[in-house]
Amino acid sequence: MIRLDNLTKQYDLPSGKAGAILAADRLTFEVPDGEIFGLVGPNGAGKTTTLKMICGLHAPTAGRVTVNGIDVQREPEEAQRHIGYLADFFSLYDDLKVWEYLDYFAHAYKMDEGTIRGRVDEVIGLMNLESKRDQLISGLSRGMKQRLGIGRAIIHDPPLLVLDEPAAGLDPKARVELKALLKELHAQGRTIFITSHILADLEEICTSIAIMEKGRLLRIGKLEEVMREGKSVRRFRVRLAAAGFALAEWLAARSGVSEAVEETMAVRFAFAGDDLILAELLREIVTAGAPVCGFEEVTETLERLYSRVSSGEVM
Amino acid sequence: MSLLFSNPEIIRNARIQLRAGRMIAAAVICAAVSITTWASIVHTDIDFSVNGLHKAGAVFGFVLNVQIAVLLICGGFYCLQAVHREKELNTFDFQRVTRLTSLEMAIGKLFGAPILAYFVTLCLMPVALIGAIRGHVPLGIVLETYVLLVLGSIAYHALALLASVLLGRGSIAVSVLLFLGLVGISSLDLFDVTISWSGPFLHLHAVSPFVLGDLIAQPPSVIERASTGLAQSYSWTDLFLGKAVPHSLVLTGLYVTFTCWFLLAITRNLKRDPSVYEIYSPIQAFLVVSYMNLLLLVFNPWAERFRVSDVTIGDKKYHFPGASPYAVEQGLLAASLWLFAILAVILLRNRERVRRRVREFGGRAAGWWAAMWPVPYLVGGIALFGSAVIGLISHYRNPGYWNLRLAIFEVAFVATWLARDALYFQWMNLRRVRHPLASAALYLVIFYVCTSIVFGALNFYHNSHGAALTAIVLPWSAFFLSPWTWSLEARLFVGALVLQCVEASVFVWLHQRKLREFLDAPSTAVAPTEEIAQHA
Repeated sequence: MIRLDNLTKQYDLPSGKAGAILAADRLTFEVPDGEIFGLVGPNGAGKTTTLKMICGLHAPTAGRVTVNGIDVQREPEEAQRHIGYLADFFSLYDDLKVWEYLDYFAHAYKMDEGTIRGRVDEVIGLMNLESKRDQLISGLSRGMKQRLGIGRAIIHDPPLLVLDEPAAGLDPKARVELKALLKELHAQGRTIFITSHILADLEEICTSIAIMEKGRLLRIGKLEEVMREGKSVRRFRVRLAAAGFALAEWLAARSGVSEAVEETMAVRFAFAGDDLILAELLREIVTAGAPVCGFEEVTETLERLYSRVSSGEVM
Repeated sequence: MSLLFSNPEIIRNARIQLRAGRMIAAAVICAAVSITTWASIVHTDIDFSVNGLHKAGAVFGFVLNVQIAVLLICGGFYCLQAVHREKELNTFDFQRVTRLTSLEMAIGKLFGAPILAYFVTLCLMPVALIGAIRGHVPLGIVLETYVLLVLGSIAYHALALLASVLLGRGSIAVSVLLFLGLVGISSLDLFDVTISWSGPFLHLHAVSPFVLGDLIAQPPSVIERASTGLAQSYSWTDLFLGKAVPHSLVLTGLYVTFTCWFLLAITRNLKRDPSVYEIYSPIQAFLVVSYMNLLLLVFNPWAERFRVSDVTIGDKKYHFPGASPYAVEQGLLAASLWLFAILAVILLRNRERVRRRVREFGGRAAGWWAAMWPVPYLVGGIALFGSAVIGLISHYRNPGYWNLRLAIFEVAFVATWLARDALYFQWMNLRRVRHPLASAALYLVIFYVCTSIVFGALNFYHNSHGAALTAIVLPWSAFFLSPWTWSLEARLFVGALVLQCVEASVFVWLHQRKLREFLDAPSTAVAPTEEIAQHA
């Protein structure tokens, strides 16, 4: 769906300083059809610049972007047919009514005149804005405006949605609705390219992910692959029903176990070995007399992975 | 898609600006203005017939001026904000990612942004037409007036829209002032701008639509002759290639051609990344400036300026020998210099453009030929224009002293001057400061002012030797070069020209060094990310 070839964007540093900033440094990767692709990185990592180059809003200093095989720089109008874009900070035309706003963009995307009215109503329904159809946009809440913004992005039924921080500034309820909406749009077969600071949200909806910093990609791949990457050991947590058994010391003496740390009524440890050896270990813990009431694998969160990758803990 | 009748941008503007409530309010206000105007003019004791208009005709004249102000100025303000405001609200990017072409967007904004001004103008039409009919203003003139009003407004709106595209955030106040200034300047009658006793500089009347109010307020005899033919309709004619042409025809031509030039610039840039805006391609910029130079040549009253005439005033006879060929050449070169300065500004490359060229062409983008930019276009243009001026002067001038070498020297000197300063600006434009061009202009003005004061204190301007020396750093000395000074100090002036070339070469060297910095920039050589990409 999206292909980036050596995509580079260079800016000047603020005046008085030597050198230049590479907001995107020879980015080369591909996002296949049907993915929800999350781009993660700190402020200034180059995420928005990359997104804008994908949409044809920023001209790359070098390299190229193709969407569905169409060069975004060379054939911008044709490429736009395949792209729906939502910026991080945006306004709508407050003096237009909801249906007029969508109607304007439907015409601007040169949709078939006969289908526009039906499509506008369909999108209004999909965005749960039926009751606001004939209201001025100025009267909508922040969450409704965000939904309308997404409605605008999908009005021409593009196969690719490019969303920059779509959850920014939304309350928890609106965020939940947004996630449900994105999942629904994905289920309809759309590819979604999304950036967000709320990593837990991305972890919940993304199928692939890339971690970006200072214009460069640190990690990229399927979500579970990226999460697994760099991990030679797994971490487990044993919950105890009562104190009195020195489980951390007992575990430290076992082969394959490391970093055993005692917590309140629990012990956390790292384990290197397969599931059969793990099962044997668990049996031994119980037969040794430890009052085990719970045993769980401590899974890596995207947030933790991101902080480990960006701090250089995992290379 | 029809550019005009189903343009989504026009429809969007109409939906926002022409809601029922707003339309009714505008119509009521216009009706009140119309009734008040009619009552106050028709029922007054002032005799308007001295201006060739009956009272009802005077109503038409007044309302027409109101319509011009509304459409031209208010419409212009709307156009100035059309893109600028969208950029500030972050809505413009959403338009850029639609499938609308640049031309569709440009036309949509050109006619959509000032749509309320068009509506108000329409609301004032009934009283204007009643005034015209009852004032016996010929229908042809009324029709022509409104055609010119619309065409003129479109031209000014297109310029305002271009400014809106190009100007950065927070510069709307400056652009409004510039727009008002331009309307004011273009309302001046160039026919009255006389640079010497030899007659007007250009045979061209005012070009802003405000001239229309004057066109209809002519003596009745002229208005009554309207039906006899276009050229005789008005007492106002311009001299085009030595022939009298109705001003309205000239205005039509100017409005249409300038609208096309402005639209070309808008459509080139409207959907572009602002960091790579380029008003025109080098060839287009060259053609625009050549066109404006051509206007200088074709509206110049060549034969009249060189005509020898004897006039008897009272019982005394006066002999007018016609203009000096040097004065004509210097006047035209001075006017043309401003136009070529515009060309230089359009052609200047910014850091982003140079960076992209370095990426694309490598070392070739930082070579000596690249360091000469934008000299080839400037020197070529001035050479072309100068040759035309010299050729026309040779054809029309009176028999008398005319030194072709001096004429060619003047052209060469102006070309070198412009090349030197353009190279300075190009070098400064690549410096990493917030407003490189503004600071470059400031330094240049300070340099010119200080050196002028020093040379003035040394009394260099009043002797030929000193004038030649000042020409090394203050090139306008060449504009005061007389045949007599030339005959005395020709070698010194040629020496000044050579030193100008040396100064220009210094800026070429500095520019080339700057370009090498881009080529050697460390940020262009960071580790590739291909191995990461293979994971994807």
